[in-house]
Formats: sequence, C-alpha cells, structure tokens
Amino acid sequence: MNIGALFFGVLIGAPLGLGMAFLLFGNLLNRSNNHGDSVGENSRYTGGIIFSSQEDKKLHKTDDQEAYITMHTKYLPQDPVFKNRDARVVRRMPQPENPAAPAAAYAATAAPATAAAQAAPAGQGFPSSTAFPAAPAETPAPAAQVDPLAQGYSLPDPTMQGFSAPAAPQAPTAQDYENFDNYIE
Amino acid sequence: MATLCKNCGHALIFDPSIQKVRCEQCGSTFLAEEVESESKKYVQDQKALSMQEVYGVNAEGAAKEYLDCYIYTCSECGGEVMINGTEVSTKCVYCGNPTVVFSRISKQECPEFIIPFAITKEQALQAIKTEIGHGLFVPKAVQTFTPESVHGIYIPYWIVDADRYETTIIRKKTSSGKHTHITYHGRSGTMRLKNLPLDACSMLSDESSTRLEPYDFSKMVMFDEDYLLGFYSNTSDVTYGELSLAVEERSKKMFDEEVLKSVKGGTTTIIKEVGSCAIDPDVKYALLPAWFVTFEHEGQHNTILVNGQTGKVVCGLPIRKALFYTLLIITCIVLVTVMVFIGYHFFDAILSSSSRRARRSSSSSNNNSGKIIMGMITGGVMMIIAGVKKIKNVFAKLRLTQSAKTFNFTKKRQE
Repeated sequence: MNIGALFFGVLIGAPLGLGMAFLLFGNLLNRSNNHGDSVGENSRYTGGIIFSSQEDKKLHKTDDQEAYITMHTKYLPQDPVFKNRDARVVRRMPQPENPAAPAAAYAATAAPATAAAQAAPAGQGFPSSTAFPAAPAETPAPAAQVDPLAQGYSLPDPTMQGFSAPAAPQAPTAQDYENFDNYIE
Repeated sequence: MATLCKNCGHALIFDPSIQKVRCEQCGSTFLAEEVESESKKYVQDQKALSMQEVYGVNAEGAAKEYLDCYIYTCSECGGEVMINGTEVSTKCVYCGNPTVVFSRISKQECPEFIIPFAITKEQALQAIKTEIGHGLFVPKAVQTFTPESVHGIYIPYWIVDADRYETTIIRKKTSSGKHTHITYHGRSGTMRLKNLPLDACSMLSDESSTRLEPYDFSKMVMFDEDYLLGFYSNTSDVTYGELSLAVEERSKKMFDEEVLKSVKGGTTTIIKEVGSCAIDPDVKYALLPAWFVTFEHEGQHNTILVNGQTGKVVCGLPIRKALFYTLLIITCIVLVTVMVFIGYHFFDAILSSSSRRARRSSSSSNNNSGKIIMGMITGGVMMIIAGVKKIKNVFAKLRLTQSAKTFNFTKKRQE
C-alpha cells in the first residue's frame, strides 16, 4: 500500500465526500421542508438599469477604480435627510409632512408627482396635497366603476405599461471623461 | 363596530369566494362599496384607550404583555375588546361580531388601496395540505396537522416608487486551462423601481412578508372598511428611517443582480460600489391579504403563511431529525469512502509516475504533481465550505416557521 497516496486520498476524499453529502442533503431538505422561498422577481418592479457609463478597460489599478467611482458618484443625488426620520412614523399626509426635507433630493426623478416636490418652495421636500389622492371615503361611486387614474390616482401597474425611466442624473460631461482619460496613463 | 345587514340587522362579513359582504343570518349579499353604515360616522371619534387610561395601570406595575394593550368597546354588545397598538380590525370576544376601530383608519392613517381576500380559509388550508403533504423529511404529524388557529390578516404595506443610482466596479475571473484571467469593469447607471411593496408592520418580520410576494396589483381596489369585516388587520407603524432602509436594502440587492448580468462570461463579483436611492414622495398605502395558520408540534409553535390573493404557501417545516441525520451520516460514509478510494488510486498513479520521472531528474514534473495536489486540496476545502454553508442556510430558513415574532403577530388577537 502506498502510504503517501492513502494520505492524500484521505486528505482530499474526506472533504470532497462530506461537502457533496452536505450539498445533496441541503438541497433535499430545502425541497422537502422549505416552501415559498422566493421573492418577487426583479422584472416585476423594474425595467432594468439605464447605464450612464460602461467601462471595460482601464480599470486594472486600484487608483483608476477609485477615480472612476469618484467621477460618477459626485453626480449621485444625496439621500434626503428627514428631521427625526427614525422616530417619525410614515403616514399619508395631505400637507407637507416634513418641511425640513430638501426639495433637491427628488430633482432627478421624472415621476409626475415629483413635479410637486420640485415646485415646492425651498426647504419643503414633500409635495403639497395635490400629489396625494383624496381619501377613498370621499369617493361616492363604487370602486368597480371608478377609473382611479382619471381621478388623479396612480394605481400600481404590474404590466409596467406607462413605465418611463427617469432621466439619468447629470451625466458626466466630455470634460470629465477627458480628465478621467488624462488621469489614467 | 360591525356593519349590519340592512335586511335583518345581523353583522356582515366579507366573503372572498364571492367578493361581497354577506350576512350569515339571512344570506343577503352586498358589494363592499355599496354598504353604508349610518353609525360609522358616530364611532369615528370612539378611540381605543390604553390599559393605563382604562384601569390606571402604570408602566411599572403592569405586566409586560399589557403595555401594548388597548381597550376598545364593542358597539354591538358593549364588551371590552383587547387590541394591540396597531390593530385596526378584530372580532369581539363576547358576541363574535367583526369589529373595526374606525379612529385608527381615519384621515392620514386610512389606507388608499386594498387587495381583498380572494382565497377562502378552506382553500388556504387545502393549499397547505397539498404543498406539505409529500415532503420526505416532513414528520407525519405535521403532514396531517390540525390547525390551532387560522387568521385572515390584512398586512399594511407601503408601495414605493424609487430611483436607485449606483456606480460599481466588477471583477471578472475567466479560466482557460491553467491560466486565470482577471478583468475589471466599471458600471454606472440608474434603476427605476415601480410599485415595490414594503411591509409597514414592525411586528411582522420582513423576511416573512417578502416571501409572500408577488401580489397582483391589477386586482387592487380603493380601500373600503367593509373589506375588513371578518378579518384582522393592522395599521402602519414604521418610521421614515425604517422605510428608507428597507428600500435601500431591497434596491441595492436588485441593482447588484441586474448589473452583474451586464458583464458576460466568467465568474463576476462586485468589489466596489457606491450608490444612493431616492424615494418618490407619493408612496401608496395599501392593505394586502394573508392567511396565518398556526399549529403546535413537539411543544413548538409553528406558523404557516398563505398569500390571501394567490394562495402561495410560505413555510419552513420541522424536520424528521432521526431520518435526516441517519441518511446524512450513511451518505457521508459512502461518499467519503468512494472519494478516498478514487483519491488513493489517483495519487498512487501520480506519485508513482513522478517518482519514476524523479529518477530521470525531471524537476518540472514534480512541480506539476504538487500543483495538482494543491488544486485538489483547495477544491476539497471549497466543497466542504459550500456544503456546510448550504445546510446552515436551509436550517436558517426552516426556523422562519418557528419564529416567535410571526407567532405573536398572529396569536395575540381576539378569537
């Protein structure tokens, strides 16, 4: 018997065998006892990514990668910082919920309701009551006969009809690309 | 309070099978939107009072479980209905009539939309039996379980539109023969998210509510409180911070999945990313239906969830431990023996040929043998890591059903 071969056989065969058994039984157990383990597919909620930049070369050095990220992230809109955002419970509000939220936070979106946010005076991030539907209790007709869209409601649209991608955030200018190219030697 | 039948005065309940409210006494049916209750107007101001207000129990003296309890007076029998801080509809423990706490769904707290229950209690139970009836590792007692309680609950959701902006650096690894080629790809872009549902109830774990998806939003209708009759429901209690965080996490995951698809071939990994998410201000508030079925197995409480619209069953069930571990150990022994046997003969051949070549002083062949051995050791270690990870992941998912949070969300309601 070749002791060396036996040593290596055990060294490699044991983890391979155990790993395969665990993988096999993990899958079997998952099929048998775990049900409904899926979330909504991405395609239900998004039309995909609209790329403002795709770079397949020039990014081998860490500095180049950092420069690429820095160049593109400086155009990212900042998250709106609401006053007491961790303490305030989300509610439908017919009036501006939080006057402290910055209007500019939504400037990059093209949704109709965002127009209200853009139109809001400085320092008033949420739209006025025009952006919110009236309370359903005030709608006299049965819902089956009501066209919510005609009343200014925006019903969720699972077919993504009417989906319009927002304008990309301020894209890098030609000057930025030139700077980037100059930076990468 | 309950909405009463115009014909006989008995309490109405919503019947998912006919999508109408029905009187159990005289059998009359009405469209939910058509039912008008004069008395609704008078009870708008009847609020649920905290235990402290009613009995003067202070926080120090009260038992912990009563701190989030509120008392609502049933308008039909005058009985005291105990509800938690976010419950909107329940049943009176004394007269059994459906009760809606109108003050909690007035004005800003009123949902805009609702997907009415389309699956009846019997259909939900049948769906569960069908789904779990064939599992190899599901105990027989669980396959033929008797439900402890079955609750139809409307879960509050915020339906959000948002834009995800992100810049990423992706590393792509391609292997050809002995060579590995690594390239780096930069991607920057915007992803528009539309109608993303996010659970607005802090009492329910996000994992459970996310797995109930998808809901068909085309069946959504304007909210009417009569859809709540006979069902339980809660109102939103999440903060802006929690909502933002949930959108951020969900959108990041979706962006990452999509952006990796843009780099074809090889093994891709995101190594750097910076992004942000802007939520549209016009978030929509909706109630979505789910059945919660609880049962006890070996002293452990379990909760199975069923999507009240599509009938999708969500659960991780207890396992037949003896059978599972016996089969696992036998399989481990068999596979390890087979792999050691194959490995022994493989290395025997390699070592014999390399020793023959060593006698002919060929150093490069020794190097090659070493590389093969190192490669195979690495492969073995990776395989066992992947296997252990898989088993751990599955066990973590199975614990979802035994979650005390989900059980308490369901069980702590008036029957």
